Amino acid sequence: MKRIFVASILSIAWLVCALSAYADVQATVFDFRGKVDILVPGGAWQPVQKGMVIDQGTTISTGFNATAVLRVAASTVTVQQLTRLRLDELLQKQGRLTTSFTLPIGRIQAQVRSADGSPQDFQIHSAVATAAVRGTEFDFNGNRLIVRDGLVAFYNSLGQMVFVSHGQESSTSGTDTPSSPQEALSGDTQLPVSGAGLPTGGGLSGSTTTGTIVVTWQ
Amino acid sequence: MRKHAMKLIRHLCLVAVVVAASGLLASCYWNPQSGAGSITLKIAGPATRSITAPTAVSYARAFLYTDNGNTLVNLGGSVPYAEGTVSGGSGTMTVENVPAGPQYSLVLVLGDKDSTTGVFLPGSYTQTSSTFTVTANAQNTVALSAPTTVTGIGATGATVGVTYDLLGDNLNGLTVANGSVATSTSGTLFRATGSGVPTAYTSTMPGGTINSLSAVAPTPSSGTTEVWMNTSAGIVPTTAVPAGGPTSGVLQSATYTAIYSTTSFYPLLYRYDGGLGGTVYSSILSTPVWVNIPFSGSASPAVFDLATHAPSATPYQNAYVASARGAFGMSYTLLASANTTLSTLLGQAGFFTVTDSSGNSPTINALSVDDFSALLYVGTNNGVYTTAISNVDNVVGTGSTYRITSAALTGTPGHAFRKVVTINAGNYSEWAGLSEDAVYYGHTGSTVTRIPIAAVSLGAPREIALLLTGSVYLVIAGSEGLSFVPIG
Repeated sequence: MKRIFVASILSIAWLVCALSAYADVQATVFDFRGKVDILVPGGAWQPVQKGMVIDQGTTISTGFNATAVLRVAASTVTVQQLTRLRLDELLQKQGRLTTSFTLPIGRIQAQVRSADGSPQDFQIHSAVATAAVRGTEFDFNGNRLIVRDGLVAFYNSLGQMVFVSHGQESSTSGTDTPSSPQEALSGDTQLPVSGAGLPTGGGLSGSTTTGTIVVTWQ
Repeated sequence: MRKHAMKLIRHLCLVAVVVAASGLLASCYWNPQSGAGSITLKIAGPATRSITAPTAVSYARAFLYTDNGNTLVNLGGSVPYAEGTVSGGSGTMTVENVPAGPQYSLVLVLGDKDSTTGVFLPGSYTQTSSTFTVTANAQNTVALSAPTTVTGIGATGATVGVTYDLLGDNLNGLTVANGSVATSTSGTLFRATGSGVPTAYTSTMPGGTINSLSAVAPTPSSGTTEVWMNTSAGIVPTTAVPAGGPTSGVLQSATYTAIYSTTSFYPLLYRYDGGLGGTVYSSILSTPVWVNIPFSGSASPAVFDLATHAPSATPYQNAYVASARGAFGMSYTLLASANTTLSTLLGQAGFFTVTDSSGNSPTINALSVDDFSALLYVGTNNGVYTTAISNVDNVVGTGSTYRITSAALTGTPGHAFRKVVTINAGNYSEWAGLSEDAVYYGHTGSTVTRIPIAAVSLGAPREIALLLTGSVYLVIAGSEGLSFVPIG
C-alpha cells in the first residue's frame, strides 16, 4: 500500500513537472493595444485577448496604431502596427527550445532570452531573408535587420549569411548577399514597414559553391 | 547704275523674304528651353517599322529563376541571363557558376538579333522547366522539350504573329488612351495615331524626366482620351490641370468622374514616393484645393498602385489604392478638403484584403477596374484575385475591411504580381497580369493563359497594357522596345 502511495505521489509530481515544462514553451499574448486579430488554422479571424495562447500555425495581425506583445518562454516579441506574423514552430526538444515565425509583412521587435540558460534556436523568416538569433534583441522588417544586443545570423534566400552584432545593421533584397554589417545610424530606431515586398533579382557575389547547368532541347 | 541698284534691291528683298519665312518655319519647331516644367510635343507620321518575331534563330538565352519563379537570378554579369549561339533545331547550352542549392526553374528563349540595333528578338521559347537543384562542382543537366514558336491569337482564333517596335528604346511608361498606345522613355513620349504603332512624339523634355504615363479624362464627360506624363517635375498633361498641383516626383496619376446631384465633380488623384495627393475641381469651384497626404512611417514607395473607373462608365465615386498601409477604396470627397490627413483618409477608407488558400493575407500590389464585369482585379504577392467592386464600395467611408475569400485565378497562386490590367472589349472583358517570370491573361471568367515573360518582352519588362483594335493585343513595354502580342 505504501509503495502504491509513493508511486502515486511520484506520478503526480512527474505530471506536474511535465505540465509546467510544457507551459514554459507556450506562446501567449502578454499585452496588446488597438485592433489585433488572430487566425487559427482552419478558423476565422477573431480579436485577441490577454493571456490567449498562440498555437502553431496561428497568424496574428495588427491594425493601424495597434501593437501586440507575445511571450515565448522568457523571450518577448513585439508585433508592430500593420504586421502579419505567423508562429510556425514552437518546440522544446532535448533541452533546446526551437521557435520559428514567418513575417509576411510588417515589423517586429524581439528580445530573445533564455530563462534557465538552455540553448535556443529562434528564427524569423520573411520572403527574402531569415534572422536566426540567440540571446539578443533586434528589429526586423523582412529585408533589413538592426541588432540592439547580442548576435544575429542573417541569411538571404540563397542561404548566404553574415553575422550582425550589437549596434549593427544589414539588409538584403533576397538573392543578393546580405550587406556587410555596418554601424546602425544613430536615431534610426524605426525600421519602415515592408512595402510591396516584391522580390527583385540580384547578384550572387560572395557565393563560393557553384555548379554548371547543361541545358538541352530537341 | 540705277538698273544695277534696282537689281540689288530685288535680291535683298528676296533674301529678306526667305529669311523671314525660314524664321517662321523654324519657330514652329523651336522649343524654348526656358519653359521649365513643360514638354513640347509634335506628332510624327505613322510608323512603318514593325518587325515580326523571327523564324530563324541564331541565339539562345537561358533565364534562371528561384523562389517559385519570383526571383530572376543575376548570374553575376551585367545581364540576368546566359547567352549562347545556336544553329538548327536542337541544341545544348552550358550555364556556369550557378550557386548550388536552391530550387531553380529555367526558361529558354531562342531568337535573333536586329541587324541595326542588336536587340534580341524572341522567336521561340520553352515553357518554364520543372524545378531542379544544382549540385556544387558538378554538371547538372536540364532537358527541355522542343521550343514553341512565339505567336499570338487573332480575333477569329487563328494564329497571328507577334510584332516588335521601338527597338533599342529603354521604355518605362505605357498606357492606352482613346484606343491608341502611348509609351515613353525617361525623356521621350511616343504616341500612336489610331491603332498604329507609337512614334516619337516629343522633341525636348525641359523640367523633368518621365516616370510613367497615365491615360486620363480631360473633362468629366469624356473618356480616357489624354495621356499625362508623370514626371520628376510633376504632372505634364497635354491639357491643363488646375493650378497648384505637384511639382515633383509624381509616379502615377488618375482621374475619374464623380457625379453628385447635377454638378460634375472631377477628381484627380496621384501618387508620389511618400504618399497620395489630388484635387477635385468643378465648375462651381473657382480655385481648386490640392490635397497632400504623406504616408509617414511607410517604406518607399508608400503607395503601389491606383485604379479608377473609366469615366465613360456609370459615374462611380470611388478610387482604389494599393499601399503599404493596406488596400482601400476612397471617396473623392477626401480629395476636396485640404484638411484631409492620413488619419482622416484611413478612418474613412474602405479596406479590402485577400485571404489566400493558406489563410494568409498576401500584400496587394496592383489593381485594375473591369467596368464590363464590374470586378476589381487584385494582384498580390500570392496570385491574382477578383471581387465585385460593390463589395469594396459597400465599406468605403466606414474604415472597416472587406475580406476577399474567393479563389485565386487559375495558375496564379504562388506568384507575386506587380501589375494587373483589364479592358472592356465591348461584349466581354479581358485581363492580364505580370509576374516576375511570366505574363498571364484571359477573358474574365475563362481559361488563363501563361507565357514566360522572357519569350515576349524586349529586354526587362516594365509595363503592360491591353489594346483593343479588331482583337485584343497585350502590349509590353520593355527596356529594349515594345511588343504587341495578339491574345484574341
